[in-house]
Amino acid sequence: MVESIAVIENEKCDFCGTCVAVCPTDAIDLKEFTVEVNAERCIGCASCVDICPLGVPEIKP
Amino acid sequence: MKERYDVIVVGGGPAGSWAAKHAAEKGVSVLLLEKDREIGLPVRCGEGVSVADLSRVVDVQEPWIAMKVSGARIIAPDGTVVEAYPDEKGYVLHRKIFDADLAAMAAKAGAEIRTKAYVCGLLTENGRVRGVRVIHLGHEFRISASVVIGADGIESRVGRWAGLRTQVSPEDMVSCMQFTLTHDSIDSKTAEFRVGERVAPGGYLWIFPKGDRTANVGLGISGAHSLNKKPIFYLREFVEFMFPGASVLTVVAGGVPSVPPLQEMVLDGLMLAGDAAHQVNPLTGGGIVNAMIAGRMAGRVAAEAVLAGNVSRKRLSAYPNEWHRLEGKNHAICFKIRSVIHRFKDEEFNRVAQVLLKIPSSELTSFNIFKSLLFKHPKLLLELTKIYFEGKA
Repeated sequence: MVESIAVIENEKCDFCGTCVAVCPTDAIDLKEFTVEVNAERCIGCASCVDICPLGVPEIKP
Repeated sequence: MKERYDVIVVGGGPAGSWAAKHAAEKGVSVLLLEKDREIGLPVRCGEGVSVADLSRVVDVQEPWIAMKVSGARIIAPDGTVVEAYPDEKGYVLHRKIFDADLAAMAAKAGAEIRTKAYVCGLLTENGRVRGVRVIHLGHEFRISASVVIGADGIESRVGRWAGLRTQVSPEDMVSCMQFTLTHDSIDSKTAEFRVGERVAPGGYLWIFPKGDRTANVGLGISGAHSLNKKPIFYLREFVEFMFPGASVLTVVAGGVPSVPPLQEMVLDGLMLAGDAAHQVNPLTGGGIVNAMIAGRMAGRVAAEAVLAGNVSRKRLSAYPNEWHRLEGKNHAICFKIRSVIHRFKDEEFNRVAQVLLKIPSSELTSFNIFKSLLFKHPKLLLELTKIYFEGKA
């Protein structure tokens, strides 16, 4: 099975930090100008997908 | 920027500025770091606040006020309109001006402020927080401090770096979207709230007029309800229906934690305040005054601890203890009410609205509204009574 993780396109993002706050493994971080997903930590649980007001995150292989 | 301060505050919102101000007033050295280039921007807020609440924490200045509103119009899913809270006054703020002024007050009290100062990590020594790493205008600095106060919002990176469990489950987070609109039909001086499964499931929609035919129109949806349809789509639908052709001046997304306060708000040399400590009102989502109250407590306790030469977790616990004593009960009651309301079906809202309609508008105070709500939900009354008398949920 291919492991799937969250992908967050910065062009669509408002950088509100809501996904960061719900991520159970601290895999998402708000950098100075971007939001980044740590592929090592992400477990593909889709908490960020569920909560994003804009529907930006996607779970992709 | 110096190499060392007594207190470093991370985040230049109301919690951070108020912590910085009140720490500086006690005579300790304070550095306030804001990641954005300007205090107060981007605005991530509905900007509505109760006059009575805000006046409790600061001497209100005219330039902060976009609109003075009185009363509230609550619209049930079946369209029933309830005019409520006749005696309650609110402000719709210009957060950009308000936040900048709070920071200026902190500076006047002696705090040093840097914007475009992105904190990228903590300095630790034997597991104890000793300062921050900050990128300011392209250079990284290591600045030590006796106490670091994380007032860095819901993402609370400071808290997580320090090892506090600040995560909120999606079901306990309210996912919000707001447009600042301008439209010819916007002419009201009353705040409007709408509830219902079609408008904002598990939350509510707000219209806060800002004057000059503009308004903040936004909504929050419980994470449990936002799986298939995101707040942006609910908001677009509503705006196209209510304000066709409106111009959108500002778009803002955000989350409001609708949870009990963070269990651990302090560690050795570390404190969290405001949204970072989940102190926002879990029922209304209002967090400005809550943040200022907590910031003030945290700033004072931090300064006193520094002056006493003891910044241990135990010493800093004076802050959460005071918070629980003064704010805990209200927070717990609001959380309990929210946990019932967010499961309401349309019919339940409609029924409550019919009960409220029988009460004369002049008597529709918050107290009477909750009384009607409780009458319909006797179990909630029991639970609230328990919180009220025993101080716990």
